[in-house]
Amino acid sequence: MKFDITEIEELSGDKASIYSVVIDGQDETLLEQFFNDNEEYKEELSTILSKIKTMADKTGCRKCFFKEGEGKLADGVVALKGGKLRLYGLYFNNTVVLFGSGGYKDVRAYQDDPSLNYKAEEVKQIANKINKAILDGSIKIENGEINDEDWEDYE
Amino acid sequence: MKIGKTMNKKLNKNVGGVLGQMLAEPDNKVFARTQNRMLIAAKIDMALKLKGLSQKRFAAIMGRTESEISDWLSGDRNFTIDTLTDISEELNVEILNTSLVNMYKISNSNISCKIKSGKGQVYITHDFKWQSIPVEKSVSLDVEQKVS
Repeated sequence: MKFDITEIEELSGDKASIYSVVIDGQDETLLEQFFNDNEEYKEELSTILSKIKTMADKTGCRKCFFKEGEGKLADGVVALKGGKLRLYGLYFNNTVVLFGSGGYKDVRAYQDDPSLNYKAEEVKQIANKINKAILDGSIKIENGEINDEDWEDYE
Repeated sequence: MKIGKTMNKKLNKNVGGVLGQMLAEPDNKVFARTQNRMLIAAKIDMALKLKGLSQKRFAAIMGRTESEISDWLSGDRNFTIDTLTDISEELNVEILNTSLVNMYKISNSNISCKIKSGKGQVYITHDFKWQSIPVEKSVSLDVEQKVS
């Protein structure tokens, strides 16, 4: 899976930078796809969008706003809730978060819903690759930004 | 498997689709409610960190479960005034501002308004109707100013 990391400048603010990814060959970020795919849940989407803007402009990405333990231990995969809608992402610190995709959680565990499980697993794969790149230094999280200029081809 | 960047610069395209529409026409009521819930949760979280209190310890102090405290801090909680009062007292932080001073909010930006003082009252106008604003002590204001 090849992907680009991109900052969503319309969402980023003084307190936090908001990122998503574009899978190679696609036009939209996963975050945009998440909003398109879940258009029917307008109020839940509004809540999630309001949370992202509040974190970006006012509070920073405080860990307490996210549900942890969605991925492997300490892989940084988190979920942001809007009613029963879940948006999965990768938490870096108070100033940087990357959002992937998600869906409506009407089951006890996301693994029980094939569609939601696929979305969560996709974010876990992305997290796994980004975490490896951070470890080898080709991606740096500094000054509230993801610096991926050295990230060319990662094996 | 190779992964990597296809470009070495950040993409600078505008967001589109449903997200773009929602950014252009936000639901202001949901936004205001969500923001206030998150700001209150952030205040409580900051107070806990400043006091070095874990969620577990705070739960014990408040007579609640840890999962309830986690819910309080999630930014989803619609608190009652009584619960906020109890939290304020326990953590010694101001969460609810119940002062009668500055209780009116003028929502229109960049409007010209006049403020004048009276005995124990402040009067304000921005639409040619003077409104009385209760104050806790007398103030002296006779300026015409831009309110933003």
